[in-house]
Amino acid sequence: MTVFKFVFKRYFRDLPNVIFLLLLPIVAAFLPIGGTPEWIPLPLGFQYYGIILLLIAARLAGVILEDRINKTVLRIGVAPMTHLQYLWQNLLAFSLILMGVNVVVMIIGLLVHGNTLISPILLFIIFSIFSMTSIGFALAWYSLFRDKETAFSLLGGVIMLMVMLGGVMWPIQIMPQLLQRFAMLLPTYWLMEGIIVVVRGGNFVDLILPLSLLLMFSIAFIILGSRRRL
Amino acid sequence: MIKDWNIWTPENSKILCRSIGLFLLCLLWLTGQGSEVGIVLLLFLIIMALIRWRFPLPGWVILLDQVACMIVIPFWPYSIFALALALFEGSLVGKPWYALPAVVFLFYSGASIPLIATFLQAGFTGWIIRGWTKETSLYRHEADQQRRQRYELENLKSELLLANVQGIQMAELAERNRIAQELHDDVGHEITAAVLAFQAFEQLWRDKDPFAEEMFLQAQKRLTNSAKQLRETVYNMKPVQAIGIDRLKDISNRMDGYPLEFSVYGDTSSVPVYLWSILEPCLKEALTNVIRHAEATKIMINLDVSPYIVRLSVYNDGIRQKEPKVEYGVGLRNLRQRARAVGGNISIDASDGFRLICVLPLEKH
Repeated sequence: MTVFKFVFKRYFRDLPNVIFLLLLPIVAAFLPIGGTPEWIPLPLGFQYYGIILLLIAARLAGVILEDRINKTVLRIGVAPMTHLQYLWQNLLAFSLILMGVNVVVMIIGLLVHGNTLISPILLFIIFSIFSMTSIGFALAWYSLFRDKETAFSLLGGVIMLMVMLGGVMWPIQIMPQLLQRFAMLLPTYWLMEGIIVVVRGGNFVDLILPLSLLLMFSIAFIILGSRRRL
Repeated sequence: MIKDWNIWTPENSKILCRSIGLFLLCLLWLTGQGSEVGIVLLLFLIIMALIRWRFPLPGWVILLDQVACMIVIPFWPYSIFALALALFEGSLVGKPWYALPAVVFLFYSGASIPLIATFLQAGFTGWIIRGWTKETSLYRHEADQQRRQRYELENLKSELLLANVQGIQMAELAERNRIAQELHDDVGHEITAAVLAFQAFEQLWRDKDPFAEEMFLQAQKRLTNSAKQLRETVYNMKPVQAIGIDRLKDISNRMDGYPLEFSVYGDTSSVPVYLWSILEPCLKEALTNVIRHAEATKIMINLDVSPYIVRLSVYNDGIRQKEPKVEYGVGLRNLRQRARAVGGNISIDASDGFRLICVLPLEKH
């Protein structure tokens, strides 16, 4: 579990990383209900929490890109460790960090907003599964690039695009018909679908379709990003 | 380096075909009115394609794809087109019967012409890529095998050349041994006996013994014997054919009609036999080349023997008629390899006339 431990060491050694990881979600958790309560009557921070998750996951999975650029993967390749081990220890560490953030945000949200979070448990489940999808997405994205700057800057744009198309910022119904259907091919759409189901008082069974789609997206992304590139 | 055509491997074509198939399916879903279940199928197929790209899967997994497609057909009728992907995978792994359920289902559900065309296209593409894959791997295997055989042959050749040199050295040692033995066994014994006989004769002669004369005759006979044996041993040693520098001169004398200069510097007797066996074909090769290719007006042959190396240089001022580029022919290549086997080298220079230089190291005894 050396790789697993080192993810934490490397990530938390950097102060900006820690601030980025904690400050953004915690501030978001304090945001009040705003904008369009008739669409999603949730505090703003929770409506936009998907964006924060995507950004944090991008930052976290950057470790893997750095490893590749610094030739750490090459050195690990000659060590008695398979690429699978390297990968799953990294992914486990990333998802544990994101889970921790989710728990903290949920607790703060409960304390600050109380009952306005309609079903904190279901929201937590949705966000946790979406965390996996975000990690997988970042992993797949980084597997396409060799240059850190390009990957980072493009990723920001792609995340915003996904978020806008997926209906996180505004209701998807105001977009043209074709874009509405196209949005269904994005994981962000299914995140919002899940949140809307929760907001409308749905139970876990209603969540099965969005959650399973999010899971399938994660699997596809992780397989895509699992290729070892030296 | 990745060349342009290197991108078009069977592997990449597989990925390309799968991507195009899935992309078309996505388009079909986007433009149609299928329900959300269609996305589940699309994602499932994408995941399967990704798994196939990362890991080799057994053929029966194609059945899973087909089951998934058939389950979704009631919700999204166009997903019947996804069955074509199964046919593609089936013919790709060379087991089209795994796609049989898809084909049966196709005709059972009343096939339209576009649908049949899609299926045929998918199956055909898969079959072609399969053939391509097999052929590529076959040729690669053959090329590898030939390369290995060539390396083996080259190894064998250099080993043989080395063994040749060693054999000559061994022969030299054996010959030296034989000479020493003969000198010791026959000539040496006779001379020793003669010396002893002369000592006895001296004593007898001083004592005026009548045996003295007989002893003298005996000693003389022994000396005559040993002189004869010595002559025989020496005759045995001398080869019938000329070797060494005489042989080189012989060869160059045969070049009638060419003005030829042969100059020798240094002590040629210190050059061992196995080096002569390289210098000689070298000179022959160079002179043959002169006759064959060059209209030479002057040929200069230099043989320098220094304490450490032998250098043979053959120069002619002829113009090479064809091909300005100098290449090592088969003869020169072989000679070069033989020279390398004894630690030397052969180089040619055609900038002004044509010059062949052979440098061989002399071993210090």
